[in-house]
Amino acid sequence: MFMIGILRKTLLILSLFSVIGCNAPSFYDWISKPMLLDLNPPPGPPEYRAAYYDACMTAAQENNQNVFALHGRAMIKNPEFSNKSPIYRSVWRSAYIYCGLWIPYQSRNRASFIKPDFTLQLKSIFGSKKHNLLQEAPPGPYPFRVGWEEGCDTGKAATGSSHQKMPYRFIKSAKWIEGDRFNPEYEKGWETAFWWCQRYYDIMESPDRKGFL
Amino acid sequence: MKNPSIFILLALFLSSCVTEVFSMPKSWDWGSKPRYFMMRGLPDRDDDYTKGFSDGCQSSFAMVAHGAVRSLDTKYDGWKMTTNRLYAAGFVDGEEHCTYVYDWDIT
Repeated sequence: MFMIGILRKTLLILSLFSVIGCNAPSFYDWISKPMLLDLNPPPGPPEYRAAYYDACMTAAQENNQNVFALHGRAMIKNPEFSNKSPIYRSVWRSAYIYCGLWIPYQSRNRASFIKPDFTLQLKSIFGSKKHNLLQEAPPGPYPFRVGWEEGCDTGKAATGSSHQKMPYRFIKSAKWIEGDRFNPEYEKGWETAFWWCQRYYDIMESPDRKGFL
Repeated sequence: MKNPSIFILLALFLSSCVTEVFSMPKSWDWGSKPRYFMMRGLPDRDDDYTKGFSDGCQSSFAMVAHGAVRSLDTKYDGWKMTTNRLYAAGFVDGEEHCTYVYDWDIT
């Protein structure tokens, strides 16, 4: 009976590791990044996917709490894509900031897995203008509004607690690529919302700040 | 209280700073809304850049500030931000400047 219990636990741990291992292309990548950070790029053209992986791995290797990461390959940029493709440069920058925030904020907010927060956050109550901006875009053209929603979801994942990190992830839809770059209205909405929403959660989740709101 | 002239001089000195400390640029039309102190050198012209800067600054205060300043409304308008390049540039500059003036430690 005792042995069966150990066997079950081992199988559970092994299956958990194998599932988590799916979110990195290689063993080295897996050990040099946080377990829950997904390195699989969103669907898109080759330069788009390469940009996400390169930028995220670059950010992961700047994590000074991971000895494997610190001995990694440092800056990762595909010289060919970087010189020729505005898509590559745009996604690289967005993903670098996203992963560069995701990793340290995961450590800072780790306690939220087990520590419920009963603080009444007055500025995020339903019906308030600021809460609405987290759920839907301000007035503007349709691509701007879609960009806002996707940028905001990415911002929530970047600096939010585990409650936000689980349902949200990097999203910058490749369907808005027009020619060799993103639709400018979409890109404007994405950038604006990303910063607004990540700062919102940065402040809301900050142990130093939220008591003063 | 032995020498009231010191207090008079101090009061005069401080009163000369009041305009500098408490005022916002005239073209911002800030009215009686809550404000952050010691904002200087801000754009103060009747153009789209200044309007964008003012809206961006107000939106950032609504996000990062404490107390009454945090009660300001956000001013995001996708139509202006995507059709008016000067307004959009001013908005980004105002948003960034006012965020870091208030809290340089924020990301």
